[in-house]
Amino acid sequence: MDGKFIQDSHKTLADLLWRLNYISDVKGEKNWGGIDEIHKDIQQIQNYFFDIPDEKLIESILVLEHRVKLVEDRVYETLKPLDFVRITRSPQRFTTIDILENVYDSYTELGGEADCNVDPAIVAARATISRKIKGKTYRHQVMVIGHEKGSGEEYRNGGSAKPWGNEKALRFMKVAEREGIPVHSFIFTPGAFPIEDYPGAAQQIARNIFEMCKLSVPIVSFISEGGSGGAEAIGVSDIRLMASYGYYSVISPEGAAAIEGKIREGQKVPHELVEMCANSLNITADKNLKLGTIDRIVEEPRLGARKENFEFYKRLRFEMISATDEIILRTKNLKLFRSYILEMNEKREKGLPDDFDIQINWDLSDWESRKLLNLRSKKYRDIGSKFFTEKKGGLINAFKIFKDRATEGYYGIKYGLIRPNQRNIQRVIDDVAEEGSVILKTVAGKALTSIEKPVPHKESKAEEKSVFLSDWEGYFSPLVNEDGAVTCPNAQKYGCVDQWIPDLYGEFSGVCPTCGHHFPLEYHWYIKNLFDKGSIHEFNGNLSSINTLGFPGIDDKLNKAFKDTGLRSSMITFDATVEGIKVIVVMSVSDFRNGTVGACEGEKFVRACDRANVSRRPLLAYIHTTGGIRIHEGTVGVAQMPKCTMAVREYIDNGGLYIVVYDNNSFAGPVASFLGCSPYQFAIRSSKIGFAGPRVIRETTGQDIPPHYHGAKNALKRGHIQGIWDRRQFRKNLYDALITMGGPNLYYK
Amino acid sequence: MDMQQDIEVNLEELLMKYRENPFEEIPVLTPHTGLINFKVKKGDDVKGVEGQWNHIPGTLLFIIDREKNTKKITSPTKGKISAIKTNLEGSFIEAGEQVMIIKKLLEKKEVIERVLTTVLHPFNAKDDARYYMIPELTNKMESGKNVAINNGDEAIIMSLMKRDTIIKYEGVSGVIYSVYFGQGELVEKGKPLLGICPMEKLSLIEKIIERINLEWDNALVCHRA
Repeated sequence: MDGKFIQDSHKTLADLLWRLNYISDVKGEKNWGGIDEIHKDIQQIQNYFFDIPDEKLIESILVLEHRVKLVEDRVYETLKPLDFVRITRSPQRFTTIDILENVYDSYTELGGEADCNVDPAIVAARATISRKIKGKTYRHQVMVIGHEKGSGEEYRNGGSAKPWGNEKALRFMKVAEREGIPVHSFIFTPGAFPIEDYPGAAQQIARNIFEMCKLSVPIVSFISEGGSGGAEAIGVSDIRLMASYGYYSVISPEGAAAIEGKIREGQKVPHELVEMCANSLNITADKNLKLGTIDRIVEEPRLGARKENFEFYKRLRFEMISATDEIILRTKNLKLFRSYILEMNEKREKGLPDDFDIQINWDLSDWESRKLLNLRSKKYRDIGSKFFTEKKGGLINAFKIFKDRATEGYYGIKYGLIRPNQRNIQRVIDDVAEEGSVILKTVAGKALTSIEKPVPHKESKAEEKSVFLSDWEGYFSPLVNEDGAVTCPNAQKYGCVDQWIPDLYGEFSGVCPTCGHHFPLEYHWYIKNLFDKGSIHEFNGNLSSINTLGFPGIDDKLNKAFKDTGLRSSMITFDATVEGIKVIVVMSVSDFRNGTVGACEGEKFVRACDRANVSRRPLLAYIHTTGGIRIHEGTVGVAQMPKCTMAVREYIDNGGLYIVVYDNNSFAGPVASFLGCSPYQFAIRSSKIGFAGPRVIRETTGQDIPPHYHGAKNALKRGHIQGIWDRRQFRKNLYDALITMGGPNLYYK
Repeated sequence: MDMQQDIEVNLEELLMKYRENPFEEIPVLTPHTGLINFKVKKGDDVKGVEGQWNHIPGTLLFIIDREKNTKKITSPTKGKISAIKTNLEGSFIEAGEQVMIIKKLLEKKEVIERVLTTVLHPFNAKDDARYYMIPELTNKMESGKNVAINNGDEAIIMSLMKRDTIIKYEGVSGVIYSVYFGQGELVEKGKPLLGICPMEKLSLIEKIIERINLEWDNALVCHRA
């Protein structure tokens, strides 16, 4: 036996053991396919290594290799979606640090290293990546942001970023924007760490998505483990790649199974149910490609790439460079470049090319940056556009469409042509008047009165109202018809007396007269009592939710919701007025599937933003309840987070006033995106706001949470919301908010 | 010396009493009228309020229904149901009626506290107000030494209606052995603020505490057996 032979044989045997461990990881069973026996045989050879003759040793190793391969073949043939989840969670899988080491030439980690870090679950690094053209090397500067699961490093929290980790990611993305270098993000997260420490998990994710929507540099993201909101926090991108053995999902299959099976906390979730959910959630790369939530799949070696698969890193480098090239070239109008993109795609299909044909500068001009952002906006607005139904045709619909077009035209002329000129004239007049010329001032005064004032400077019309509903001549909740009493949840603390239900829901508007606790009320109460009588006109009511993924049993549940509520989705959008101020309202109601958001709701929200944009009206999102993203719509639901944020960002950037008011329970995806991004968020008293519910926090972090952890007061303390409103003064507070926040820009900048 | 012997005898009796019956009987009353539906039976072990923030309620004892408003009444403490009026099941009962008794095993700390109340001289709150210890005393107590106090010494600051009044200690001279309130805490009139131990009794009290610490667990083991 020579030294090299011994070394090689030992290495082969160790590798075989690693492969067997990997099989157990993938299948979630220690002795899947009888691998224990192979394991023992390998260990026996290792123990008697020097006693076995060379020929026999070679033969035994060959046999063992063959046996391991046979098991791997069987694993490959029987791969199920749940196995993909386990592949991504295997400690042998590559991570962001491995990518930085092997895909990029050099890198400097930013914001700390290892456990000496703001948040070790997020890695930010300034890196260089190179390409070869005819033997010559060209280097590019990039900002790499990724989740680091760590291989056995507990302090990484398995890649679950805390709010300050996501803040770090955003901070360095902004550095990249300032320096004009592309961002490459790598997603390896089971989900964000669900804590409400400053500024709150949901709030930080919302901030990230809001900024990334208009980050003026190319962003390429790569998903290995895409856990819902945590993934979106660094995942908004121009091109989204996904590892062929990765998973991207709205919720972990275990979480979905617990919800589907209504499993109580602490009870074991049946394995079959988890399998069913993993199959139905469409979490694999090919399913996501079909849904349009990713752009391309990066092929991995069979059963997934592991840390030492260097060929895979080569492919990943090629994919990251060509994706960035493609984003850059899309902003340019040259046909030659477009044909280059096509060529690259053809090459990719044939096999991995060694060299690139041309060098592309990754710098963008201002004009190109604008085009980049427009393309990103279009990409996100198109996501999920085929996953709802829209009733078209009919005379009434045709009339509505005609009315909408006419309104669009009217406002286009009013605010696009007349108003800017009117403003300019007024500005000139104001400037001249300030010069102190008495004559000019007189003229200016006359000129001003001759044109309509652009902004209604209204005195507050909202009167101090009685707290008793009977004095309002308002709408009474049908709950008043119930004969019985109810106890306030704060009775022990404040000594609240039991209330007779007709009194509580009638005179007191569902508010405890002792402590002010707000009992939930149906959304109709707000529609009737918040807005001016007869001012509500619904639009897009013809859009309807569908069973996007064909999830078992959802068709029946949706039909029941249609029948019970008379609604087609959980979101109602309408025009209304509050004390004469015209607003566009988005209302998310609990009655329909607990206010969850799917493709239909996302589309309705986007259209409401656009309507508010066109008609230059304030946008109010009143969240009666939202339970998060509808899990039965999988990643199409998750994609509504950036889609809606994109629309509302464009509305805000154009000068719109966006106010969000939370009521009852508002959790998860919507709060972590298009609701949480509003600069003006308020909550109705006794409402709960957060990212994940108490049960999820307990199960994922292993820690219990204090009472009122998700309460509005806590949200106010950490700066998530700007104020807490009493239900009985909602109308007045809303009017005041519109006047104070809107000010001279009430309708439009 | 005779007096000390008397106290020792009394304490011996007191300890004996606790050792013989180391339980406290907690009556459970109905909070208001209604139809009662019991959820426990005699001999059941019940849990009290738990959790870091006392946020996990105890075992459900009974449900009381008034005006279609069902209220769940949970156990305030850990123990065993020693008596229950099961004959009232399903009937309408008045407010404040005793429906069961929970027998609670006293803990070592509780026994020490109870014995101390018989030995120490209490200095009670003069009014419903917020109370603070005067800084000098606080500093002395923080140093970990026994702090002596005499009749007429300034001891407490009473904060009421935005006025701070210094309260002088009235009572036997001795050492501040127990402080029953936190700084700035609201204390009801008549509740003890301080527990004063006369100098001569100090060694005796320490001896008692030591004895309880040593003997109590063994006594409980016997009772549990």
